[in-house]
Amino acid sequence: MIAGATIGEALLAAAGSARGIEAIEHDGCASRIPYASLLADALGIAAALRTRGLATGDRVALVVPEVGDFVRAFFGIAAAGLLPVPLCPPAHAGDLPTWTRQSRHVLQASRASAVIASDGVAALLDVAGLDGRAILPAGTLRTHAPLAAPVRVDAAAPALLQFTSGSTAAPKGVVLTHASLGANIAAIAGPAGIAARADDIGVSWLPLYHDMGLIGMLLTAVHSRADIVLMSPVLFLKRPTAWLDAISHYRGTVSFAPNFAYDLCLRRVKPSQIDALDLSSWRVAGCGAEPVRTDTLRAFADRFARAGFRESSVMSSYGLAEHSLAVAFSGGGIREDVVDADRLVREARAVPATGASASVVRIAACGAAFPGHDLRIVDDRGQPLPERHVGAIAARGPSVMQGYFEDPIATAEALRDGWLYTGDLGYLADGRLFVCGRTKELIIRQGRKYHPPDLEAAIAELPGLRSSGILVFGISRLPDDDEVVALVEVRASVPPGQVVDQVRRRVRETAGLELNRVIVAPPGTIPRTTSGKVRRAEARDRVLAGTLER
Amino acid sequence: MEPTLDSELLADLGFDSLQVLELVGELEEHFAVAVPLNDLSRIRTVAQVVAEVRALTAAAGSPPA
Repeated sequence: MIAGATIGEALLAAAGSARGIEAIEHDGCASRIPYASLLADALGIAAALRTRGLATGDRVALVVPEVGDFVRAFFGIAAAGLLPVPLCPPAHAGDLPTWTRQSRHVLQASRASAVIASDGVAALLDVAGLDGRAILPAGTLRTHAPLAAPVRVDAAAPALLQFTSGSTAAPKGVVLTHASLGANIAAIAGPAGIAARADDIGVSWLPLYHDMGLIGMLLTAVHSRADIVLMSPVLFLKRPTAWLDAISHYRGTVSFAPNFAYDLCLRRVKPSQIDALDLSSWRVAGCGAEPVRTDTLRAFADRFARAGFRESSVMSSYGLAEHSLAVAFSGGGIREDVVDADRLVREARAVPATGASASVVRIAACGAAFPGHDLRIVDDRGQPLPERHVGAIAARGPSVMQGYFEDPIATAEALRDGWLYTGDLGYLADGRLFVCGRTKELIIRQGRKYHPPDLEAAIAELPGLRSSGILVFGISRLPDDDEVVALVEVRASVPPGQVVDQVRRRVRETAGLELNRVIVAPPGTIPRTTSGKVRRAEARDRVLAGTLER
Repeated sequence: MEPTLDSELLADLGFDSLQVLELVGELEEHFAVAVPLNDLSRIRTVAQVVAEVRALTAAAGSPPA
């Protein structure tokens, strides 16, 4: 790994190795793209973009669900000295109106000069409002005269415009420089991260328009000059076993995924399929991008032990797009803190549970700050809090974003006194970070503060409920008094009245909180982002507007 | 509610986008077909699922057993 390298320089270095990408498309078709070929293709695409009059720093949106075409186009944009703006393709969006609205927002906010899109996507994009932007076909964007080398750019110049998935607000464009990306990748690849090796084989089904797949898996592999298998997320979601098959078949050593992916494998991979797997090569099984649930990881480790999976491979992580990607990793197995649920909810303190604790909450450890980076927990006034006190997580160091694209107000809110305010809540214990929830979602009831994830975790312990189908939020009536609503997804076979009583009792007993409303709804009611994160603000708005319940 | 051909997977039948792909995966396996990527965003109703499978099995030339 070359410290301080731009994306173009990293590709140039990787092209000197024999390694490369194995691209597995949504239908299972695999093709190999050595880094040397990738560089040649990227230089051709870069020349094609430059002949269209695009100049250094211009934004080029990228809406390409095909893995091979995405990778070529992404590096083509970077080699041309332009800024890639990856967008979610429609196939993942679930419903087209949501995708159309989000795509229009990102195209307008990024002021992208052109859009590289697959054939099938181009027609749908038209509906999303191109306002005269050129659509360039992803598969055939070539020229007879490729550039001789990637356009030289300064390490301090922007490298990527990454739109956040917006689980709490409209997506904002995070500007990352080559230097901040490089610093974060060095931390990920370094000893406090995955301790990358040249003989590593990454395996990822993660969307490439999302930071964990793009930066954590693809760019980290290119910088480390290591092999990587990139699988279409559509293939994984259709057949979760395809992910584990790829690790087994290619002898994968590093693979990250959100908690739900481990959960999906537990539910959908059949015993006969487990027998055919060999997961003994998997040395880093990373979990991040959404809250890490140690019970899921423990169940996964137990179930897949007979396929050679080792619990000691588990690595929990915490990060956010505003910090390039990763903030902290905790490797070497499942590490958790078992704290008193009542004191966590009432006092915002993480006190280790004792025999006297009526109920407990298990919180995954996410590790310490990377070398050259800082982490701290602060109160409402920005003052550092002692260990085991829950407060706002703030981070500092070379991985922090330059700011939100052309949004000084949001930037000033996120970056204060040299610190990035993550919007997440957590605490430190022995210097290690534990993540509890998001500050913006704090519920205040009669002056007392409650964190929705704590309440949701308590409700999730009820039999027959799925943790992914529970949402608790506050609706402000007065400055210090929220109406507290729980939205619970249950299948039609469960009597709703019974669920309402159980949920009320559970929250009353664990948190001493009386819920104002419990809404029981069929699975799929809770609004989610294209990457599956719950949209709390939208759920709240729709409950207020009365459009959520049918 | 009782599912009909006009029922929408997301709005009426409680599917989330994950479950739509799970269904597509099951159908691909059962009917030995591959649903093109560009068709995924167009599958909204039960009738559209049926039409998609009919078209793909007809194109494959071998109706399901």
